[in-house]
Amino acid sequence: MNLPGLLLALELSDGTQDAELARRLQRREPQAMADLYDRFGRLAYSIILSVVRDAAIAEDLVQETFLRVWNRAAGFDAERGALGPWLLAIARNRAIDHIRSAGARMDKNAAELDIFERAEHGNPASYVDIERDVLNADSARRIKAALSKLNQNQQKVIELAYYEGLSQTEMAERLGQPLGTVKTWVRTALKHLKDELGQAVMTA
Amino acid sequence: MTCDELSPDYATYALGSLDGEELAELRAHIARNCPNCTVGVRNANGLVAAMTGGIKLVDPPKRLRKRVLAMVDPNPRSSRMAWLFALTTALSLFVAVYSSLRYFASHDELLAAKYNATIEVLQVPAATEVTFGKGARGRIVISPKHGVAFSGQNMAALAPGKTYEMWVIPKGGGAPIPSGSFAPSGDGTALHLRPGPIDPAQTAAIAVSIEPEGGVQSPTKDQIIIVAPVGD
Repeated sequence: MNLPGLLLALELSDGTQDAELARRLQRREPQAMADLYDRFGRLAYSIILSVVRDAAIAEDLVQETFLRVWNRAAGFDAERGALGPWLLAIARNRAIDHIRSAGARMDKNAAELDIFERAEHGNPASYVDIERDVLNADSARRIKAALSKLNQNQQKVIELAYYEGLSQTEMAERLGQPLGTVKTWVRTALKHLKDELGQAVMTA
Repeated sequence: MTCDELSPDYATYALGSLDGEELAELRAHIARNCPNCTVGVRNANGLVAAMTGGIKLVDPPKRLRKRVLAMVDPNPRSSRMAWLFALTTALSLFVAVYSSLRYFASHDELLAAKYNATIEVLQVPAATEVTFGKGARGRIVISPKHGVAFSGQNMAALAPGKTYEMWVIPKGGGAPIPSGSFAPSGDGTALHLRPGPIDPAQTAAIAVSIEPEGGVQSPTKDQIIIVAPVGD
């Protein structure tokens, strides 16, 4: 077990704490924001920094991320509680939003991104039932092992998708490969990761 | 497309990389609360969340915690500092110099407070989106209670001695009201807040122009780069 994976699992996997923390956020308790930051601040910062690669921008985006969660906590299902994955998804997408907006692709993709945000972030219920079994220490180890087993092309498309937020069409353009080939790489890579993590992650 | 046909793309969708026909089809399924696709995407989010395990963890600077908590502080220090700054501008030169030192010491906090206030307003759901310039994009949000917030991305750098200036254009042909100047940061992003109540029913548009540094009292017509009509 590597230490970062263990710490990650510990920070993400306490659903009971999530539920209580969510209730306090809904009551607009400032101390709840402090506790939220203490639990997820480092993870959110790490994710954002891994995408934007600029510490000052990462700080701004962490701030936006936590404010967004604060403002939208009312829609969170405190009983089922998956606060961490929801917050981290917002963090990652704020970072991707930033790097996309800074590039020439921005106008073309702005509408797509906005719709994606509404679909993924506007509904915290999209993040229930996913973390307690998934983000435990063993799964953290398995995901790293699974990522390392992907071939070079598969690793590349996952990196482009995860860290740069590229669509499959954009990846095809970037890599100079047919769209069908890229789709195959993405699907195969994600299926491999899904298989490695088992039904605890994806039952569909 | 059927759910079976879409199911291999659930994880690609969760990752944010799905596009084209498959994306449109999957969104349509989700929009009509298709149980298969809704559960499939929800589970796929688990995979993306788990991929967080692959990143290198980095400790954020300690000041970031303070910035985050300042956003929800019911008695923000920044307000007190802003008041102090306003007061000292009316005092003698000696006091002004002294106060300036205090101002610079707290400049980061004032900027952070302004940034936070702008972001707060930008969270308002009813927003007016505007697009302008070559690849630049902006978001203008009018909050009757808090004011007008502007966020711009991919904005062109300004020539030396120039600034962007916001204008509130009243209905009925009244003169545009100067609403503060601002400059983009090095990465082409800009945030600006015109604080204070505003009546959207009495506002025809929000505009932004390029003006001499320090701002002007009426916009230079051929330098207006944004005009965002305000709906009733």
